[in-house]
Amino acid sequence: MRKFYTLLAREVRSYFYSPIAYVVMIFFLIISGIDFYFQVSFMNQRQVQYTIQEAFFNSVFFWFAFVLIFPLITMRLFAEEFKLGTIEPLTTAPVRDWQVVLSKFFGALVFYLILWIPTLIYFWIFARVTNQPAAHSPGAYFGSYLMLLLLGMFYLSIGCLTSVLTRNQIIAAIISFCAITLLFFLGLVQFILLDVTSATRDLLGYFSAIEHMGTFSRGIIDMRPIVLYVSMTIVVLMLTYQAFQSRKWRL
Amino acid sequence: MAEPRTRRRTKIGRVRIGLNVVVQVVLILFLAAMVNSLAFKHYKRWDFSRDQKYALSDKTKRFLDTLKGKMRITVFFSPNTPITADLQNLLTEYQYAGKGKIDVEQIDPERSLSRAKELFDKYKVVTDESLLVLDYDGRNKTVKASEMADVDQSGMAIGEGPRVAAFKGEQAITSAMIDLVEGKKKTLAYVMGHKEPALSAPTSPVSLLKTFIENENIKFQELNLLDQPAIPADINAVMIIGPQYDFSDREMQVLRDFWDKQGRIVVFVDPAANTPRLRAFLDELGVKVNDDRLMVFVRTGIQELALTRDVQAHFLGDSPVTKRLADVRAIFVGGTASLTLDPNRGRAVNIRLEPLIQAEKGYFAETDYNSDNQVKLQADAQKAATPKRPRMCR
Repeated sequence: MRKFYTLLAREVRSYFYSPIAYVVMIFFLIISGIDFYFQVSFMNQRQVQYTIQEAFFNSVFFWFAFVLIFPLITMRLFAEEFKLGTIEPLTTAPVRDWQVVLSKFFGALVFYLILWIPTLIYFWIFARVTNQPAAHSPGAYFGSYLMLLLLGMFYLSIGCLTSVLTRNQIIAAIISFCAITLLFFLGLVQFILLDVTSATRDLLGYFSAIEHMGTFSRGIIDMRPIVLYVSMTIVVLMLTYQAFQSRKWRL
Repeated sequence: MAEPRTRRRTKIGRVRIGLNVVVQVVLILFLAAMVNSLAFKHYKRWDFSRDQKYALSDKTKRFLDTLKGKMRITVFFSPNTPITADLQNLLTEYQYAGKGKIDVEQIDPERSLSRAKELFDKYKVVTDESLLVLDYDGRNKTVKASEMADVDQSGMAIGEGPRVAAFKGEQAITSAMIDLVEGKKKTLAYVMGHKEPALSAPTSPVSLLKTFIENENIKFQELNLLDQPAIPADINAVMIIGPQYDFSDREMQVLRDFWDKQGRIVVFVDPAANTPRLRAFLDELGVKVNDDRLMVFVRTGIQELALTRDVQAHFLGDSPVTKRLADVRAIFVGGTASLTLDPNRGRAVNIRLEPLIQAEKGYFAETDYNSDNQVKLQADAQKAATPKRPRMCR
């Protein structure tokens, strides 16, 4: 386990040594700041039934930034190491392949979670300035951030997989962007298709990230998305592990 | 010779590893599919919202546990309805608590035209209002959006949208479900035999009313009092709409007996019809149908006044009967008489009298309603211009 923590620390540090981390952070903070500003402006103009926290996590701006950050975070994970040749020392070091894969995944996850910390300040400022709660209950915050974690785990694992498949970071980013966008739009199909049975609609709703976020951000915790995202993360990480290992036995 | 053998061995090794990897991948995919399939059917939800807005009451949960068959809910809600999101969340809770016995189909009537039409025909939906239809064991009942929420429309004048003051979706849906499952339909009798409007014309207002009533899972039954010694015990309410001929003494006795047994009677009187016995019955209860017509002078030019006999009125929100229609305006075309309510008479027979509809400002009750003398009518209008406005009867 000590080896794993050493690798994890190396991964997290490497994010902050590279300029891309700061570019991603600034891009993300700008978009989320604009999102928050627009939601507050909108709520100032008319009476709404939802809170600023629900509005923030369910807006178009939020999903726009959300889908974009994963390729940026994960594109360099393996691709860069393959390109620079630093993967050789890593694979010949006394560490197991799963430790390498998991350390990269959790390193990206730690960076992803750090990205979200400033958004908590938005809600705190909102509550201080307006003397109104930003959410109906602590459960709503818990639900929103839990869903961020679950979606983040799944989409980061997809990014890991695409990064392990190629030496080129741009190609890795494009493939993961396409895969994540397709998965995201799969959940929207239920809103586009008209004459579908309720069973089909339920099934499509099972994969709908928008619907999941809508539910969790109201403070309702449903077991189904938790099972879906955790299981899919494990599956994709397993595929990443196999793809990473295949470089050895295919030689 | 040794080199090809080594190469072949390496090749066999790769194939073996490749197969091993494929089997592992297939196995993990299969496991993930199984886990998700189980989670899709058997799941738990926890409500951590402040007021547990969508958490179902114990009464609803207990009722859903006792459900034996499948309850199908078809939702005809336009996305613009202010309670659409609340309703969807609530129905998700019903589905969860129903453990597979609740099947929900969402239809956006503005987008899924063909499906909406098919189901409108099936359930005989005759309103544009957003509603849902509950279907259980071949019986169905509608719950309208207006029954699920108190909507505050006071901000409409300043450009704001309607605001949901109170969401009562669970109360409305569960009580409709209980009515459906219990299966015991309430019966409303429509009195015939005095030249009342016929039910045969499918587009007539009475036929439309019949469809509305049947959609509420209420049995609509025609009733001829002439051949009945008494109104059958299974009838919960009697409706009399615009009889042109009066009721006989015997028929009136049957009606009185029904009224005394706590029966409910809805009466719409045609002011032009001669029905003294029916009016006398109403008078006994404190409701006097006046021999007059409501009229109003409308200014059509600088010095021009036009007399109109069509009555504009609004529903009063003080009574539970018309609470949901408070301030809704309606036009009553043609001759309309006023009603006088006598609370003392009402108290004597232990009933509380409440007006439901009131004519708009400016209307007066003219007793000489066949007169064409404009000067006289104008003088009567001025005379009657008091703050007390007439209540109406049709």
